[in-house]
Amino acid sequence: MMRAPLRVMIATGVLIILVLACAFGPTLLHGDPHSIGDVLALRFRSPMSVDSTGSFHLFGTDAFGRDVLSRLLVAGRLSLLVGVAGAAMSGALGTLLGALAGWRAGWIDTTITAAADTLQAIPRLVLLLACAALWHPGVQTLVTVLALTGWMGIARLVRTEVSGLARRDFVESARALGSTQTRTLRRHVIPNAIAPALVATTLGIGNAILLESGLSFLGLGVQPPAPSWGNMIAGGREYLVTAPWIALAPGLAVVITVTAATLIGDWLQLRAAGRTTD
Amino acid sequence: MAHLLRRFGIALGLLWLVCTLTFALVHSAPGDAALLLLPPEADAATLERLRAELGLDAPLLRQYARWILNIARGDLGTSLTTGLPVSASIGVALPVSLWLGAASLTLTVVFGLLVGSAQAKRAGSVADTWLTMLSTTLYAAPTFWLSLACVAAVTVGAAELGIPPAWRLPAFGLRDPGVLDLGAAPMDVLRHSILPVFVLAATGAAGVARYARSAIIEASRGDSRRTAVAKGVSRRRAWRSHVVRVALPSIVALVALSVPGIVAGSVFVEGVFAWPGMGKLLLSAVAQRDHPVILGVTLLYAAAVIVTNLLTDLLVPLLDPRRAIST
Repeated sequence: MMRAPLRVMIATGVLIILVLACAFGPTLLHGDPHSIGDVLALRFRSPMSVDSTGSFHLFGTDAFGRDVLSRLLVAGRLSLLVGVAGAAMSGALGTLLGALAGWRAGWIDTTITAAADTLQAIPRLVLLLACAALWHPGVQTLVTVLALTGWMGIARLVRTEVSGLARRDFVESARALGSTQTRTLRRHVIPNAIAPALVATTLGIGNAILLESGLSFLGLGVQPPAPSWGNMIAGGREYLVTAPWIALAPGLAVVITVTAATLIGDWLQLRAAGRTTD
Repeated sequence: MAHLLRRFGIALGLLWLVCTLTFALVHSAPGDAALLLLPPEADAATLERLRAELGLDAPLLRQYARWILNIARGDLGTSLTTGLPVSASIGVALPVSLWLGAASLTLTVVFGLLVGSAQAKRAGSVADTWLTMLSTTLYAAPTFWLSLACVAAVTVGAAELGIPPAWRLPAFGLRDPGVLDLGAAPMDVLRHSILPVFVLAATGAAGVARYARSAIIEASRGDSRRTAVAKGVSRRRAWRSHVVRVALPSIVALVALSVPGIVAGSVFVEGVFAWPGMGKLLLSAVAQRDHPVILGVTLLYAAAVIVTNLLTDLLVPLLDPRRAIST
């Protein structure tokens, strides 16, 4: 067991704090992230200021007088959920299709590989934009499209692993002992092929969060008034000059989250690579 | 030669699959072009007439055949909003994007390789750790957000610092409307390019540096370097010929893989900096639900990716004879 370097431990700590803050923060903080009060008195309060009602705004208020911090935390729930759900679903889909392609050679393999090649030829963002434009934007579309456009790399990894495993002795003997195909796959093949898929899925979380923020920034993802980090940045765009904190805070949240997720994913990848070469 | 033809065939087949996929995407989506073009209160008869005019009433298979044949002839259809041929709009936008892409890809590769190999040489040092943090953070930062920060810096930031207007960088567009003098125009475009190229190159170089670092470290653990050092080759030469050279083929493959990323980045960068290229064209088509333009731009991007992959497949065996396919 290789001990995690300091930066990976810090990244893990930061992510845990962030998830806890998003989960419980909004209930502990004063102020509803959606409701709009006395706009003229409350809007554009700078960070670390106290407004006329006596409430304290760590990250200031936005153009409608809403507390940026509580919106940030509520938005974090949705952004993290979409990121994790999108990555997990593409991971599951990739593992399933990859295992199928590696296990069953022939036309199934050819079809899945051709589908993966086709989808990978279109830059993921362009595919996402086209889908978002054709269907109604929203959280469900976003997660579905993230899953449908992110499975190819993982399927490729799993396919290579599975087709290698299919020829190994313990798989042969399981088959010789009369284990059914499904059982052999479930008990002997997939558990041994899953590690690289899990690592790739972890690395995909950061990417999915970035894509969510990008699509929401363009108005094609999470729809206001529901806050997400991306649409908060879009909302702050007009006030870049007078109230830069509105766009700064959610941007920093994305950078911190994705950096932490990437550092952890990189380390997991290094560990997985080390284990297979031992 | 047979291998070359085979690779060509596969690339063409892939392009055909991409065309089929985009066709399927459009026809599985709710609503059609006729519904988008007409106001909601239009009656059914008008709707039917427009559908017939646009050829949407034909059987799906015939529509598909027509669409593929048209693409093969280079006809990507007509924009629903401007009424111009899609290929004409792309013809205007493409050179503008190619300039942005070429400039930022060059800087991406040069800086990414320099930083990555410098890090690999001193792997584990304090400087290496900090550079890894920096490249991971840049890699994690949304491109559109970095672009917004740059816009703020050159407008409000520059004004606050008291930088004279003539020295400030332009934040939007490709050129100033007033500059018509042919001598000054290239300089004007160059000035406008600085910010978008900077954002694209910084994020791209971060990705290349991350990969180059680990590829070079892996190569430096290989036997070829140990053997070279053991037989008395100078350290510098061993590094250049037995480490960086060994890692080169996989780095070339990575640069090819980063092309879709640069495309994605450029969509946002063009959007924020109002750069009138392919990304901006795609974004406004998406905003207006202009299907033919969306499809045309998507196909062109896919073609770019397929051609890059084809070139890499042909280039990598030249750099690494072990990967050559014996024919």
